[in-house]
Amino acid sequence: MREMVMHLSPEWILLVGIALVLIGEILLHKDSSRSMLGIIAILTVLGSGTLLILQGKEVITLFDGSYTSDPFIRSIKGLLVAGTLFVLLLSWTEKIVAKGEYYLLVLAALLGAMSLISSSDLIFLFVSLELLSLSAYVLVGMQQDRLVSSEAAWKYVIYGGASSAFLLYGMSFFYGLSGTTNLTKISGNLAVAYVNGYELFLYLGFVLLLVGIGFKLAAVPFHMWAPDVYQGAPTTVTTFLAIVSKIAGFIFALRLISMLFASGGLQSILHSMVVPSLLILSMLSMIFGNVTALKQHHLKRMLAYSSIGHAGYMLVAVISILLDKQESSLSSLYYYFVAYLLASAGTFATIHVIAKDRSPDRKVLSGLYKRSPGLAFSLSVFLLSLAGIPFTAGFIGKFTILVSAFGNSMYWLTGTMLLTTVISYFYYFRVIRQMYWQEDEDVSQVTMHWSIGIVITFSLIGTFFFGIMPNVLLQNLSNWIG
Amino acid sequence: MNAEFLAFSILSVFAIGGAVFFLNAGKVMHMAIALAFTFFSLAGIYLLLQAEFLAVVQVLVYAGGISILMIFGIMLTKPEEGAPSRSFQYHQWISLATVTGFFVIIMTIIYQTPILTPAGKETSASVKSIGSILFKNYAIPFELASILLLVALIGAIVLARKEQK
Repeated sequence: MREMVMHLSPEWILLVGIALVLIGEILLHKDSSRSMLGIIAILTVLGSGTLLILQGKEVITLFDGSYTSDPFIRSIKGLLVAGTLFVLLLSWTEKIVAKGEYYLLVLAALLGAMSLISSSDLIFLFVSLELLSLSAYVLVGMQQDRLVSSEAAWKYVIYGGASSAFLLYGMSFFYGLSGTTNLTKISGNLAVAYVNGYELFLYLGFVLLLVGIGFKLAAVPFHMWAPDVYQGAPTTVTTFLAIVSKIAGFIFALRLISMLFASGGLQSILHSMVVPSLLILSMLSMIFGNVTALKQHHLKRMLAYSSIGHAGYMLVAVISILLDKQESSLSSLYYYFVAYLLASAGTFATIHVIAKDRSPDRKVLSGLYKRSPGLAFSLSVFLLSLAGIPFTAGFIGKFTILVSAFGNSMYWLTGTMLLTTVISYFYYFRVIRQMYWQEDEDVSQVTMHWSIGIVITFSLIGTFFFGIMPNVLLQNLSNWIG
Repeated sequence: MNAEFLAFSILSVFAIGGAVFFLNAGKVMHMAIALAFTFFSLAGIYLLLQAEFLAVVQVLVYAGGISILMIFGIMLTKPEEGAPSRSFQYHQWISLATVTGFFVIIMTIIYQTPILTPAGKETSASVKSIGSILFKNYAIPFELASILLLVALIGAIVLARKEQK
């Protein structure tokens, strides 16, 4: 029992944090500041991160294998914790009426994300996914004075609910065929069903699953919700969706698909059906995301389309992992996550500072160089990292993905990836040009809160550090996983 | 044509009829009652499938709890009664075509695969065994579900309450 408590401690402590925030919200006076609760939330997340590190390299399986935590999963959890920390720091200055509930929901969403990537059981997966999604729905709609926020929450709930239904329907076919919800046992049973003439059910189940996963990852053609939600949500929540939700969603998809089709008897389905359909999703996301981003004027909307493009790149890495199951492919995906996390957190933090209450279209950036050279410089670095220019972390991330895709001889995919990367340069550089070479009508100084300063500094240092010395991370990671 | 088939036909007609009424009703209250009808009929179908526990839970939670909650919700708020537009627009035709296509595909697949051998007369899972599985193997999802409900509760309050200035 004691051992179990220790094994689950990174999750337990979040529960404790949720309870503390809830009690604090009740005790605090209606008009008093909620920064105390913010500190509690930050400490909880820090504590969860510390406990993750303390667990070391141990491989943990609990409850008949339905909960697993190995070094790779733990390293992903570390990313989720780091991303949530950034979000909490940014939230310090976010204008939200129900601030206490806001912190609570962020912690609950992190709890959902962390248990999502640890679970190897269909029921467990679904409940965690719903915890993550439900918290995110509410977070998106928390700025009730802005109509777009409510609209975004509404759209998110509808699309999210529909995608959950698809996912659940797909899962029910797999359960029906295999008679178990445990992902470690399911694959062998599915292979038996495949030989016995139930292959059509397998295909149907996979297609339904793919629709659900596609919605959660915002991959084209299931991306319709993303631009509206990214635009309407409070900037901090957009950051959360872009970083934490996205990383957790990808690991969820990767683990679910790779474990469902793990057994030798299902390799033909994996190669004839699963990989090609992911290929199509990935190509469409890269092309459509990047091309549509060209036309966007609203910054958050542009970043939403760019994140759809990034989802395409990450899918390339996922396909490589499914094909070769090698450690190098895993670490390329991880590296991309790190680069994307730092660059997105930095970009959204900068937009959060500059736009303040205004709706952030490209004009708010005009002449930023004169008003605040430091911010203009760091935003340029983040955008360059998202675009994948050398000496930034984003370049190494894209490069390692390209190498592992080449290793699996997916030449069409690498071609598309290179082409769309070039397309993406247009809109990233257009924003940078706006900051440096456009005159500004508004000469107000940009004031920045220290908490946002921390986020921007950390992201900036990380983006440079991992861009110049990628081996530090790659080697540590392979030691850690291996 | 035995009694079981007859019961199944009646129940399924009620279930589908309730769903159709739900979609077509003009007033929100009528929708809620139509939905309750569907839930009840589904509980009956579960009973026919010898899933007694599921049937009881269905009646308690869905037909009882959810329907009552919805009716309360309708009575406490003022729903705007707008006349629904009856004309079919082009996107509705597209949705109809998609949904029909989806239905046809699923039905073909289900009828093309071999029917499972009919299950033997198993003693249906008792409440005791369900409880022991729920609190042993599925303890974490069970606890997470309670957090999920807490989040849903808090979220609903946050989103529904008026701006307090």
